[in-house]
Amino acid sequence: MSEKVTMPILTARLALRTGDTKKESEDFVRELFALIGEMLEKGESVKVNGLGVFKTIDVEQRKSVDVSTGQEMIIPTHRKVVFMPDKELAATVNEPFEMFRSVEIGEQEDEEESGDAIDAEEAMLADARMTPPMESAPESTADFAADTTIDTTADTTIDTTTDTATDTTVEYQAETQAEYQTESKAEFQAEPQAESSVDEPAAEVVEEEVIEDKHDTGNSGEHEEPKKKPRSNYWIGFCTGVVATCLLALISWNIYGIFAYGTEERRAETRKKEAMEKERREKRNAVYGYELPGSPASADTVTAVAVVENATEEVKAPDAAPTKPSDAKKYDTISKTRYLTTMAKDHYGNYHLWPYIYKANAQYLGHPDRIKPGTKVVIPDLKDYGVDPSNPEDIKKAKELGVQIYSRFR
Amino acid sequence: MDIKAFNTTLATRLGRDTDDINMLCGQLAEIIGESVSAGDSVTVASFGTFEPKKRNERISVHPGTGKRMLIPPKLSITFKPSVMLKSKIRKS
Repeated sequence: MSEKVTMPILTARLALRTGDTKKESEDFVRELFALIGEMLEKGESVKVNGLGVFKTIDVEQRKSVDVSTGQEMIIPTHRKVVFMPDKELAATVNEPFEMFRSVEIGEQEDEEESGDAIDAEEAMLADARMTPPMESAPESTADFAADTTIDTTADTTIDTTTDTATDTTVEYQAETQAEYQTESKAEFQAEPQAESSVDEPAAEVVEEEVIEDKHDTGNSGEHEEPKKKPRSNYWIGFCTGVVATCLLALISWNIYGIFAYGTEERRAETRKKEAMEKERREKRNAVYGYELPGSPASADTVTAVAVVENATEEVKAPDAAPTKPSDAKKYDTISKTRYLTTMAKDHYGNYHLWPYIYKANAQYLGHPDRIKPGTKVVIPDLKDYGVDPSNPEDIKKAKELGVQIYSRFR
Repeated sequence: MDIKAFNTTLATRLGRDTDDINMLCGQLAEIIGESVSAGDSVTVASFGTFEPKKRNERISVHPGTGKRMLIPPKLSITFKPSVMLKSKIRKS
């Protein structure tokens, strides 16, 4: 909750800042506000350096209702005190929002600026503990209470509106003079009062007059068009943006394409590569009679599936693939419980030899620890790599291979 | 009463220098400003309280161009006169 800074606190701070004694500061503050009060009583306005202007304004009598009885009554004409803060003071208080300016918006409901502004506001309020304006209870005696409460409420409301109007005037005038040339200040003065209740009709009315003054084209009759025009403008802008983005994408893909297959050399290289790949695949095809999953041409070549499973009991085959005796090429499938190491142990007798399984399938495998369950892998014959599982030297080599494989992914 | 006259009168009453008074006023204003912008209310007995007030952002129409404007939120300082002051002023 907000702190209540009282006279002693105030004078203490003042004494601290100015080097006066506490008594001197106290006397000063007391005299200052006493003098202001005196002047206000006389009906005279007072300007105080740094603070601003204190003045009285006359309030017309108005009809109201007695809160306690519900009876109608009249609040008589009277004077009230008004404070207009100094520009610097107002800026100090408004510091969190000083940077914001009024911004034109389109027809859309949720604008980014409003979002940012609201967020900023929330953040500020979290720090600056604020009292809701009319929290203080009525402090006066019984008879006066009802009148005072109503009066305060009404006054404050009016104050807000008036202040709003004044503020709007100030803000808009700054903007207006800077950016727009306008002759409609008279209309403008009348505008804010209507503003708080209904925006659109007032705006339309104002627009009509303004338009009739300024435009001599066919626009004058229709006051709808100025409203519609912004809408169509935005649509045009949006479509242009979409088209531009598509064009950009097309161009960039083309450029990328040219780069990838740039020169004749490169094209030849790529062709060579592709030819080699094809060869390799066909070779495999012939030998295994089976296209390994994940290879690019697997969809094209549909040959009989001939998967040979290891005859030993240790090997589990979760996949129900048909087996056929052929050259003893073995396959296995990765699963959640069956890793390359598991297979190595089963097929070679030592799990350290997993890198050779990896090597044989390197094209289809990424990170050795992250192979998708269900991936079929070839179990190569260790003789192809000249590896003897009973030779500790070879085991060492295998371990090193493993480290190598991992290092590729670091 | 303009600033000069105010300062002079106050100076006479307190037996101090006008420049001093001017400086003191400025300092006081700063203290009040800092307190209010921190969210606190500053109360001066028998005079009134200075309070912070938040005005939410709002959408309204710019009178000159007819365009819809988003006016940003604002924190302002308001003054609520004390009952005593109000009653002193009230007589029309």
